[in-house]
Amino acid sequence: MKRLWLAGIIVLMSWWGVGPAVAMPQALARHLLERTGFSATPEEILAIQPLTLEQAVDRILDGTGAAAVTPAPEWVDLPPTDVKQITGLTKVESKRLQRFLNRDVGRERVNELRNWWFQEMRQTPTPLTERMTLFWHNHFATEADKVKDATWLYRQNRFLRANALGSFADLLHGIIRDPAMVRYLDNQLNRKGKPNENLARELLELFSMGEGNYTEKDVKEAARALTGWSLNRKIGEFVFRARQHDDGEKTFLGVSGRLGGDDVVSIILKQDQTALFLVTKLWREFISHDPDAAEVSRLAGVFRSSSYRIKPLLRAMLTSAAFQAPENRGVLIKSPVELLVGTVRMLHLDAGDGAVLARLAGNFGQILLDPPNVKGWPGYTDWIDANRLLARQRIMAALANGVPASVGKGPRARRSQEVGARLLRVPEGLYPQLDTVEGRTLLVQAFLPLQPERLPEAAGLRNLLLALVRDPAYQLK
Amino acid sequence: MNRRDLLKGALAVAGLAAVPVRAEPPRQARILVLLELAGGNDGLNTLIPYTDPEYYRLRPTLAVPRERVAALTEMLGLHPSLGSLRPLWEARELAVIQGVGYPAPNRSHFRSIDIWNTASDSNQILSDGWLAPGLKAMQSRHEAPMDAVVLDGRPQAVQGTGARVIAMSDPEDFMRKAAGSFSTEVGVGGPALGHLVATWQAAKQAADYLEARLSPTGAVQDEEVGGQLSQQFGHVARLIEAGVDVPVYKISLKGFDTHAEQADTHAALLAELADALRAFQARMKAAGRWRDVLLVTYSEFGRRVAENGSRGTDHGTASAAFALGGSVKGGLYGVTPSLTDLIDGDLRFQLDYRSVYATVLHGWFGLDPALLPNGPMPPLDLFA
Repeated sequence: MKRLWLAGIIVLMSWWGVGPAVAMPQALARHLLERTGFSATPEEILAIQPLTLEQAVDRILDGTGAAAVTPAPEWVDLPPTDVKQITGLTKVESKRLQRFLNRDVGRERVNELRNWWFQEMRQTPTPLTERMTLFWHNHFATEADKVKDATWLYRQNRFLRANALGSFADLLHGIIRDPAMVRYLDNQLNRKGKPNENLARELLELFSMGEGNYTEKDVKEAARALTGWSLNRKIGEFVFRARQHDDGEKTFLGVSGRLGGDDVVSIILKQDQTALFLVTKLWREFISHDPDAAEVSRLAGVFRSSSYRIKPLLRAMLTSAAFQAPENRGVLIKSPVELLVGTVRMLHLDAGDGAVLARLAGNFGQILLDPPNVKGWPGYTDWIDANRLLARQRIMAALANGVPASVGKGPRARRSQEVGARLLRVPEGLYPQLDTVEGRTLLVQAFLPLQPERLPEAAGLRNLLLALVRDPAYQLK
Repeated sequence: MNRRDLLKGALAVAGLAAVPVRAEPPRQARILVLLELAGGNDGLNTLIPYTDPEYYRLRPTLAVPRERVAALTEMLGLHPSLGSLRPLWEARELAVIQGVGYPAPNRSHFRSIDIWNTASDSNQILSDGWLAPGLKAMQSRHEAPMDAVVLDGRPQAVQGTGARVIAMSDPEDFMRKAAGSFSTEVGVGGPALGHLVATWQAAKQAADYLEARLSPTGAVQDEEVGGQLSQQFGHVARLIEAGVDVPVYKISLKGFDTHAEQADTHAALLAELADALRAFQARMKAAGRWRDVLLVTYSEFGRRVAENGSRGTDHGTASAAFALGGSVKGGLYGVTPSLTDLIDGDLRFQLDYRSVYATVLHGWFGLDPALLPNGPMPPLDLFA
């Protein structure tokens, strides 16, 4: 009788949120891990399952970093080559060298940067840091194709990572002076008397408030405020050119004054819409494709009252009822990067220097560092058309059946074939400790966000894994 | 006066011939190849007003010298890179439509291409491609389980409620990839899973259909994201030759956003365009299908009349569009935009782009031009 009373009190206390807390259901643990990372390995699931959701979220948030663990390519710290400093060249030779540096070396370096980022995503002890860096890369989208300079892109990436879990206010103030962004949106051409509205427009439309919340006049005034926000192209640094700056009276979103770029950002941050816009995007990243208006409003309030710090917002989102809701499992579609990095992590694949992942992600529709336009990758069902779905499925099948017969001719095709073959070789002896009934159940749980009607029939653990990655639900998260 | 009367009046005023009403929809032999010139093609250096002194004054370095222009009429000619299209012009199978644009034009790439893809007004946001309702309406006319094949990864103009669109970069590769399987033990899931499964099924159906018609050669190109124009045309030609019964193909040529050092880039792009068009025409003629094919180009905007400080041009407004095919009534359409009566340095559009779309929907496919989201527009009398 006494025991019953005790049990009853414990249950009541747990329900009230006090006393010995209840561990997470396994499905929620894997959901949290996959949604905040690239995958949910069995080890990771078991590690956080004894925690409450709040504790697990805190652990994940506290573990995030502000810098990459993978050493960057050595050239990121080198000053750019000034061809004019090289003596003994004719004018033609000088021009040719400059073009070679810009185009061929430049392109090669962008590839290296891309590969480096894939390595980081593969190796990072804190996947959420990379997920948020990816989110901001997509939000503050620039295209390597236009920016061209890999050093500028590296510095932008470093800036995004340093602030990925920091403050959105810092990100917004920082992005208008990011050389890659200035170059991408032509703001170095935005001068007093000769305005270029590109940066001002995207700042409002895509980076902070969204269409319908400001007027064309606001765009024009913001452009005036951003005049002179320029670059030193030689060293790839932001430079404020006072002579190009329109210092006159302006009125932006109802505020008047001799506004400059930072003033515009500060005014934007005072608008309620800004937090709503960001929270809606983050909802679609972490929870579901259909944000709940009332909840978005509540979370926007959290965001604002924490002065746009991202961690308190994420904490509130990841512990919300909507995040936990079973009907929101498996309702999002993995991006090519998430699918590939996740699979590498789950199956301990050899991704080499990352180049093969970069190529495959491109085939699936996501050339990292090169989104289709300033809007970024639309995501969700945009990742899945016939071509892209077949491309994904073919790689999953190749894990089981080996690399498909040569799809091209010539040495480049052969080389990419070899690298592909290395990636797609699933090691033997994975998860030996899970070759039991419970172990297999855990594996199915780990791989799939939606449980199949019955466990796939597979002789051997390895075949089970290969069947799981070919399940349609494996494309979801 | 209702909208229909207004239109009839507009038709008369514009001097466009009344379009004959079709008694019954034609057997679906007719094909549209929709070619997007991505980036904003400089119409003024494509169809050149080579006797207009303003052209030379406003483009000191970019204007094409008069003697190099491939003259079509006494006042207008093509960029020299397009000179090889002259035989098409002389055979009266090339139509050049001037001054195509729309009111209150938008100069943002993605906003403007959204407008062109959805046939929206400048201040309207629509999500369905302009061809989607037409594709749906044509479904009973053709065998293939897909309504459009998109070879350039840019399906916006054709995708929308009810339209079955298949994306592929190479039919050969597509068929091979589809030979695999997806586990069908799918449990309960939401719309994301539903989309996945539906896409898979559509892809399999499309692949099966293609397998039955194409004899696989086993030759596959290096898998590239966004193949070259001639490759895309090659795939389209192969599918048409094999009797694939799909009404619409979508392809594109990228690179037209020539803000700096335009001359060489633009010349190279137009040369690539001309070569690909001629090769495609040759194949269609050999296959006896040239009369069934209509090719139409479009671009998100033209470019500004005056060149900028970097020997290039910035985003503009109206531009010229091409329509080619064995059934096309070749010649010059529309009104040449003035180079002196500009709006803010940009050309005034002379023909709403939705008239071109109405021409495709009604004149080519025999569909109701009211299928356009903002209602019908006067079509051109483009077909012989």
